Amino acid sequence: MAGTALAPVAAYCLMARRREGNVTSFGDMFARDLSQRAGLVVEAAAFADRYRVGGHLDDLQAFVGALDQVSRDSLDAVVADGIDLTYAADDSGSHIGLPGGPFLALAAAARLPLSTVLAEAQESYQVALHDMRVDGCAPGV
Amino acid sequence: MDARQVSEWDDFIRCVDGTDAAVAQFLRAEGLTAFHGGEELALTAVRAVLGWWDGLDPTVRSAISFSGPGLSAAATTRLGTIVAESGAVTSAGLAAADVAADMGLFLGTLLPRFDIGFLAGASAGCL
Repeated sequence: MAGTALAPVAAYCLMARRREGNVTSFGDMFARDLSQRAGLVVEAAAFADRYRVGGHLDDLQAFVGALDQVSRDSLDAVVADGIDLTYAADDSGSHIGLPGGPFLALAAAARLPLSTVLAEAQESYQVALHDMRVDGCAPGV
Repeated sequence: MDARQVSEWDDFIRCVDGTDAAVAQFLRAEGLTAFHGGEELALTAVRAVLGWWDGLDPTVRSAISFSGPGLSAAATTRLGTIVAESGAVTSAGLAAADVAADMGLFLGTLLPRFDIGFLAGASAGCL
């Protein structure tokens, strides 16, 4: 029965919290912070799952962090031109394997360098996690 | 004996022509236009573009191939700056910004026509 007893708390932590009368999820907090931080239009629903968001950020950081400066600047120039690489394919029609999930489209729509959006999103991720902890939710929830 | 001197650029174009006539034709026309007829700078620029391309991360290279035809003039100018700086391209009498702008102009005409991999393939062994 312990699982049943904990369910309301877990649901609270995972799905929502009440702040100033508004129900706010991780996605809402993340989207709001990133919007304010970078001046982006961020749709909370696309970032509702903190684990998926964290995974995309980790993957993108691993990729971008391993690039040399010239490669990183070149990629930034393309994305900042508004090119959405989400479905970018090579000559054979295969996906080119660029990680980042919704952050690729977000950066392209905002016409910002991918590395800039990554850095801002990492900050917003930490803020959103912190806000959830402050509300009494365990970090792992 | 023909006393006329054959430039390094002419030599290069003739070599490329033996591999891919369309690329050679493009370089002969657009290469010199972008660099205001300066053969030496055009050749240096082609070397820089190929060096940049060769050094790019393969996924980034694919991203540029994918997006190349759709890039704006501002983006090709930015890429031109990256190429010029990474290849340390300079030209006597030209400011670095002018060289970068010319490089951007060259990329702006190249990318909608050819994947840079085409240029690299056609130029292999010619530089």
